[in-house]
Amino acid sequence: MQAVAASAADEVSTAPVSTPSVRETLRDLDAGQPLNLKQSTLWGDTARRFFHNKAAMISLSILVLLLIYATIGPYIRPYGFSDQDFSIAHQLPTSEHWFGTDMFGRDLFVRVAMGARVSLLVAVAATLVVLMIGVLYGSISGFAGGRTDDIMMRFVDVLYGLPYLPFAIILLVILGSGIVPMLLALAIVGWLTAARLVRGQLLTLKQNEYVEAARALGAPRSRIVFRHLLPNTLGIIVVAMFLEIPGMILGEAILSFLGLGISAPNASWGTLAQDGWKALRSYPWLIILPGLFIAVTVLAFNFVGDGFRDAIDPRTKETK
Amino acid sequence: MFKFVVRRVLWSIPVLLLVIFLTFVLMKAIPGGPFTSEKGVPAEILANMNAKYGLDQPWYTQYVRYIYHAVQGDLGVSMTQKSRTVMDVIGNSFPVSMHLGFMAFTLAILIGVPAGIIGALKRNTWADYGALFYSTIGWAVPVFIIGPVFIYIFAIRLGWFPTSRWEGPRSWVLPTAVLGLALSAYFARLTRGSMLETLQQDYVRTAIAKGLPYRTVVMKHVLRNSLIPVVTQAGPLLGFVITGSFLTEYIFAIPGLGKYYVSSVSNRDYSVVMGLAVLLSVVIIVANLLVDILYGLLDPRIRYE
Repeated sequence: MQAVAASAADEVSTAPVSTPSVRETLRDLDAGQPLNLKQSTLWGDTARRFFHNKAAMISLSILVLLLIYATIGPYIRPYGFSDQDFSIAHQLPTSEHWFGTDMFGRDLFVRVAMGARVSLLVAVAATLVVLMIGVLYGSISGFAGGRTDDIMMRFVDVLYGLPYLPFAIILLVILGSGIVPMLLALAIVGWLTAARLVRGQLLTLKQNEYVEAARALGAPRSRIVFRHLLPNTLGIIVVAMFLEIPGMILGEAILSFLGLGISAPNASWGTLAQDGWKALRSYPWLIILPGLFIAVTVLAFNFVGDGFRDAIDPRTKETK
Repeated sequence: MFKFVVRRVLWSIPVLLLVIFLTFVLMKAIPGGPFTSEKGVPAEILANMNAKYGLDQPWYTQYVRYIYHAVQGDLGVSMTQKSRTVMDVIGNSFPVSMHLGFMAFTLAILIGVPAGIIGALKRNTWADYGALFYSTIGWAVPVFIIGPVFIYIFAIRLGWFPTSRWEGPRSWVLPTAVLGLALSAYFARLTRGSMLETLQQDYVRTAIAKGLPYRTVVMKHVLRNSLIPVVTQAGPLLGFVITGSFLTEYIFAIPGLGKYYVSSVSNRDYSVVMGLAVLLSVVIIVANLLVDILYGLLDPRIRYE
């Protein structure tokens, strides 16, 4: 624990409250002060490290702002999502239309907010499905071990190298277009990494004495997996989730941009980019706007995920 | 080494069969058959046509038949383009995609690897932050945004290059740049991470401790070892190239695999989609095989696993 505190100390030197050193603690004890037992808990340390990571905190604020925008954006402007007015088509941002208007004179501030809802919803939901499949598959494989593990992981290995896009496209044709087919297609091609990760974690955790103890006490396998092993992988799963979301946002945007994903009346950022692409020659703003939103969101999720990972396990930072 | 290669080659055969099988099952799951159309073909004729092409057989017979024809180089006929077989489509589009991919790959290595090396050697300096910023932006801004922005600036505004098509060196510049830059960001990240890891190895410390010039240590010890992971990442990278080239070909109207794939899906030309999906899988599997063998050559430790 001291080593961790020491390595964290140089990056949080500006911190107003830092963990007291051993020497300081001994001095306080000699002075007759009661020992402050609350000073260093695992999650406390993690949170402290996270809150002092500038990139992660800025990114988190951006994500919160984005969430607020997606939630109330459509209601604070007096325009509907598909209100057309050709007299004001193709405007750059003005005081009436904060983000400008598209080729049908629809207000882009409202449309991008609705696009944010769809893009974020699809990405988060697909990530949750991926985690569910990954946790289930990975924990069965990791806990069963032996031949079952071999076969299950060989299967993952085979699929792992394949490019996801062609298969996602076929899946979309099978499932149809719309929000639910999109998130299913993304999840079906995306669960492999999560399964590998969970399995790897379980294999390491399985070696611990408390697992042996639980088994010796006659705990059934399911109890060992769900009560002992999975809770210990929680931190890593949360990190994996944050790092998975940007990939999902990009995947959805790519498929929608190719005209195979979310289509009218719904619109995601990818659909908006597709609209902008058609009008590129004269109105590049229409593609730059959703592009900015996609890039900033992807970066923000990534930095928050990195921040979580470094906060949970500061050692990863050194080799980065 | 020989045994290692033989084992890897043999292992890729069931992999290939499994991948083709999965693609096959997926294609069967698409609603509607190849002869389903709005015109409403009479049921008897439909049954005859299905019988003619073996579509009335159980799926496993169809699968075996597909494999049987595929190994002889027959992937069926296109369902929407008159008098073209799937092999014709591949023959026309694959070289174009290879050409684009090869040029983009070269550009990406020329930019990405040096950027990563400089980043790692000058860690936490402005050069490093510059390289990091570059690779982060290149990763986060998707090809379908960079592509149109490049087209707008260099083709529409400045008029230096054509906006689309694949006819001669001038038209190659923009697609290669777009795909290559996106890819170079990946190379830069990978190289930087691998270099940083190698720099911390004990043998590097030993080499410096025994008084070798830093330059020699970097060239002889660090660089060689840190480029191994860069080579072995070529498999997943190829997937990245394929995704990127789908978008690049779509944006620049380049008649490559990706463009045909997307348009065949929209046209419901399933035999072409199936053929191209199988081809892409074969390419990936063969590439992974080569990478594995190369890995075994570069790093003797891996052969004994």
